[in-house]
Amino acid sequence: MKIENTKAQMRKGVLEYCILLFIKDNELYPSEIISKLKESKLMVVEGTLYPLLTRLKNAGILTYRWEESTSGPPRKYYSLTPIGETFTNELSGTWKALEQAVTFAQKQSK
Amino acid sequence: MKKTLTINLGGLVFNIDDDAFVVLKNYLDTIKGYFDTSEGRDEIMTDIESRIAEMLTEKMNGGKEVINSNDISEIISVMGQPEDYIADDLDEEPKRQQSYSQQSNTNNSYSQQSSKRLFRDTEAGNIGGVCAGIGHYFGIDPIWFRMAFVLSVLFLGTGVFLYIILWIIMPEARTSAEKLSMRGEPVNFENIGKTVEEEMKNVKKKFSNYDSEGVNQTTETIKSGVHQVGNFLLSLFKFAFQAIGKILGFLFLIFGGLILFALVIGIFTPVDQIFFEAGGSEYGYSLIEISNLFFPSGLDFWLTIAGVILLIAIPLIALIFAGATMLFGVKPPKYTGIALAGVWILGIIITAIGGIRTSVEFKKDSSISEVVTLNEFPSDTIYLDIYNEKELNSGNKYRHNEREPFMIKDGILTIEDVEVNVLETNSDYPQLEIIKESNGRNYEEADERAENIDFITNIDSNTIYISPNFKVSSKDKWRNQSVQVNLYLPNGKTVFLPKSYKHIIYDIKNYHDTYDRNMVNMFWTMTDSGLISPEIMKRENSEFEVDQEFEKVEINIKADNEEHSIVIQ
Repeated sequence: MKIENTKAQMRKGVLEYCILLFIKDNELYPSEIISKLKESKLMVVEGTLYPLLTRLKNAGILTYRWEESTSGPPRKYYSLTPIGETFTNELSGTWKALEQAVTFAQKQSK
Repeated sequence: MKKTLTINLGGLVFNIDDDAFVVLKNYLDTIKGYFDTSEGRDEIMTDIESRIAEMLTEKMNGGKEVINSNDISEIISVMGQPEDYIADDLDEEPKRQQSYSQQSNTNNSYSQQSSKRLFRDTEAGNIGGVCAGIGHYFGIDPIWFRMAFVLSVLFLGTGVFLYIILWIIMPEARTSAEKLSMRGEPVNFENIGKTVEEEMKNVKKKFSNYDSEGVNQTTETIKSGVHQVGNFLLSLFKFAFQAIGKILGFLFLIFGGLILFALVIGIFTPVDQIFFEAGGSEYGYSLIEISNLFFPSGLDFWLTIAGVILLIAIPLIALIFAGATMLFGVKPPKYTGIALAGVWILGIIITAIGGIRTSVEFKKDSSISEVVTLNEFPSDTIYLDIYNEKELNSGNKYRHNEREPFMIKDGILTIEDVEVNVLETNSDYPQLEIIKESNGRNYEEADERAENIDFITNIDSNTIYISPNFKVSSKDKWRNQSVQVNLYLPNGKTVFLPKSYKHIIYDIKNYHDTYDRNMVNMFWTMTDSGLISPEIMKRENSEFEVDQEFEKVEINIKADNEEHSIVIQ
């Protein structure tokens, strides 16, 4: 059992949830998502976002539309599907429960 | 000055210099290796490439014309090292991570040094990716190997056999590092030379590092000079050994493959089409016919055959494995050695079972003898001759040079294993003894078989006709049956051995110690000193310049002896 694995596991679940939260409010293209993630220090490198987005898209949670860009290749703008919205809401519920559980656990350990 | 390449990335055109291109390509290939086609690899790659293209466009806007390796390193640091992709990808099995990190340690991951190895390319392949893998290895379109395999299937399925072996020994390219080294630079002489050069450089570098730790400056330089020469020789030897290993591996593969090929043909040839030519015979005998005579049952035959095939084939397969390991550096699956050894031992056991079950049939031997006293024989001289059905039936001259060791016809086995001997007897009359011998599981069986031997002799006035062969029903099988004919001669009687007895008479003791094959076409007289040939006696006597009458020698043996002693004096 490596500490990195645990960290990565923790981060991974949260990462998906955060991405969904970002997209929920407005359409975003990957670079924008990345800059938000970087701000929140959830993601360090960009490359790993793409597999994640593709997976979410394949799962029917995200959808995208193409938009021409002046500074390079056309961009994919991602948005939530109806499924994605319910999914995000469910995750919000789960997150609350988790938050409570973790807070409780932390208090107990003090 | 550097070479520049033009690439299309995310639909945009970029000028990129050679070094940067290699780094970028390796980077993309490495990442590509982490994803399966099922999880949308192509889409992910397109997204990543688009993003890289976007970043490159930003850089180009600054008035740059060519992308260099610094740009690529910057982009990689933004996009993340290949390791980062793995760290975030926990769905992947941990094994992959391990093998990747191992590879990255030794191989410096996506750097330019990628040594080529033989892998199966299951993505590009049609069946097991064997041909695609070989194609990658030699840098040739796999279609040629596919065609070769399909063609070789026509040769009794050798292709299928070979393909399965290669499928087993060639590992699948799973990790990206493996995929990279699978696709690496083609193995050709130029590259081999390059590798050797690099290796020598490495050794030199290692040595200079070692030297820098040295204490004395002057000895250091001498040392390094000597060692550089030494290192050069060392790497030369290393390369020579590697080359010899490759050549040996190649030979192993070729020989193992060829013999195995022959064996496969042998296996697939219907057994009833295997014929043995009897010397000078117009008949051929099928393996089935012969094995039926030898093995107690069909089961024993197949056991023995299967066992022998395993005994031969397993070492050949091991040889092919060894060859492949030496030539391509592929390692056979973990338990191959044990499995092969196990099957080989199984082969020994099967052969032993078949062999023991068969040899038990030969355990006991028995003989029956029958003596005929020739008391009504008219003359003192007995003529021996060949009894031959053909001759008796058609009156044709017997052709004794057409001998066959055995013959099977209409369920009757004819064996030429008749021995004729001439011995002395105290009886007044000549005697003919016929001993029939056979082996069997027990004495009763051996006895019965001996009795079943159909052997013909015929006595006609002054001639004894002896058949050069005997017949056995093929139901009795071949159990080392033989016939021994002993002619017992009283003192003073003479026998004539015809020319046709050259191969029938066996080890007849005689006074002159003449070999069997020289005894034919002569009269032999039984005396107190054994069989004597008047003809040879005459020849020997004339050598001693003693003019001796023929009859005298024959009759007065004592006198003859005295004469000899005189000569010696």
